Amino acid sequence: MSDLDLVALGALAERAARAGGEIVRAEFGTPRQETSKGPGDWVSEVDLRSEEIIRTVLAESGLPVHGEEAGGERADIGWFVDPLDGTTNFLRGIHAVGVSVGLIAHGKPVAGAVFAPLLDEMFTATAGGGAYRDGARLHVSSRPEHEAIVATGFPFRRKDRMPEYDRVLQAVFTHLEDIRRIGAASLDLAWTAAGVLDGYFELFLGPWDVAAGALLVREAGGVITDWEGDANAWLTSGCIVAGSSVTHAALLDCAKLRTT
Amino acid sequence: MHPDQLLAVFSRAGDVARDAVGALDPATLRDPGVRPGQYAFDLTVDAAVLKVLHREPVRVVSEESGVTGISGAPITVVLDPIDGSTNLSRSIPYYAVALCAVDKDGPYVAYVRNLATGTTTTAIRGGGAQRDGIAITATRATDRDHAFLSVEGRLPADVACRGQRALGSAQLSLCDVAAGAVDAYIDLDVPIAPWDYLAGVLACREAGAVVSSPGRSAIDTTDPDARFLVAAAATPELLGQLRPLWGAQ
Repeated sequence: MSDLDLVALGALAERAARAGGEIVRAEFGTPRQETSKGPGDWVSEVDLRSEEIIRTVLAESGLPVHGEEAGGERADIGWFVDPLDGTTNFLRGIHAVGVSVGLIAHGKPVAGAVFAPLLDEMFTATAGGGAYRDGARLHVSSRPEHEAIVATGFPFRRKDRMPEYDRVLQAVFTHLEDIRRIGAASLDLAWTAAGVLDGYFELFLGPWDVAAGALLVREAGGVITDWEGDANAWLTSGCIVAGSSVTHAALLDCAKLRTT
Repeated sequence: MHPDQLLAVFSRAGDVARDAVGALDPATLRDPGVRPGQYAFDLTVDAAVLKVLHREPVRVVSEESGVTGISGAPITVVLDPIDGSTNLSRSIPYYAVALCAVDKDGPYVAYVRNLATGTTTTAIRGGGAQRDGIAITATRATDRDHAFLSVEGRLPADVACRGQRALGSAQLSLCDVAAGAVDAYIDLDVPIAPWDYLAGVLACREAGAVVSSPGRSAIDTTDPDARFLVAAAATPELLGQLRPLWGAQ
């Protein structure tokens, strides 16, 4: 990792995310064909075109790229790309969509960008270099637990896990102020980093969903773990709890109730 | 007043609401108002919109300032200067100014503008609904298991659906039903006031959706003390599958 020029790679991630986002923005609001990849999981030709241009930009790095739509090598050092996070929102005219480009090195996120093309917000981070929105330094919230609003999403890829997810959700409703279901994991994480949201939890996400956003949260002073509290396993399991230290601890307490 | 006149007034009100929000210092977004749950910006935007409405021959019922304007006027404008105040207080981009003109026959002209994105939904009784000037219709979804829902509160785990959103603004959620962005909306949390739903309800009806409340209460009211749980769905069949979620409420 010491050989990586994270400043340059972070700038490349930003450029790639913006390039994909421009395609997303240009196509928003146009009726189009959608294809189901599975329950609740949709893809449009805009996803594919966005990923294509992101791959073209990232090729400058010489590092492997794994994209949500076209796949690719999952290397020890390589990019994870979600070219259109929130495809359902996009197809239905809801503005909350993200384009996520994250670089993973030896199991840890080290550079990334999340672009919200329909809201024109660019979030960037590099390991040890801080997190930023449109150039302004980000910090997670300092709200107490009872004022926390957290984002979440259904485990739509694993509906057999709904009962345990629901026990956690019920606890969150009881102990925290409220929840939002926005439908774009990368933005949920970016807004947690920005202190807009206080935290986020979800099950069974892909690494392309969270690689960049998790780095944003860490670099903004937040905490990322899996549902057991493991600070490293979330990238492989896709089970994630994120937030300010206060909200993360509260969410982790709620997550413990899933097996009771 | 002619519907087009009212829409022109509401458009001006939307502009001043947008400008008032744009002028807010981000550091003040959490500043409280004068009653619990109210923010200072609610009052700021309310005052700006009232300056527009008070030039017209209407009665006004506002969430923030109560009943003002011309008593006995044939048109009452029900106003929520910021629907989704919690979202604005945190910069979650899903909050709106909502206005609904009501005459003796009920909701008449509606205007809901997402102040973060600019997306504007309008409706005229008997004249259809539009989003940013383009006619909108609700989906034709009839089956809850395959429906995409907007939910306020917690949907029981054993209730299947295609997907859920919870975005924190009843008016915008209702407009999303009207525009086909979601197939239905249901409030399973706390009853809401006419300024929280009337404009969105008219948009839903004009887009072909159906609206209800527990006990099929008469929700077309300007009574500032009225509170209802509200649901809207693309079709009567879908609404019929949602109503049982209210249970004994």
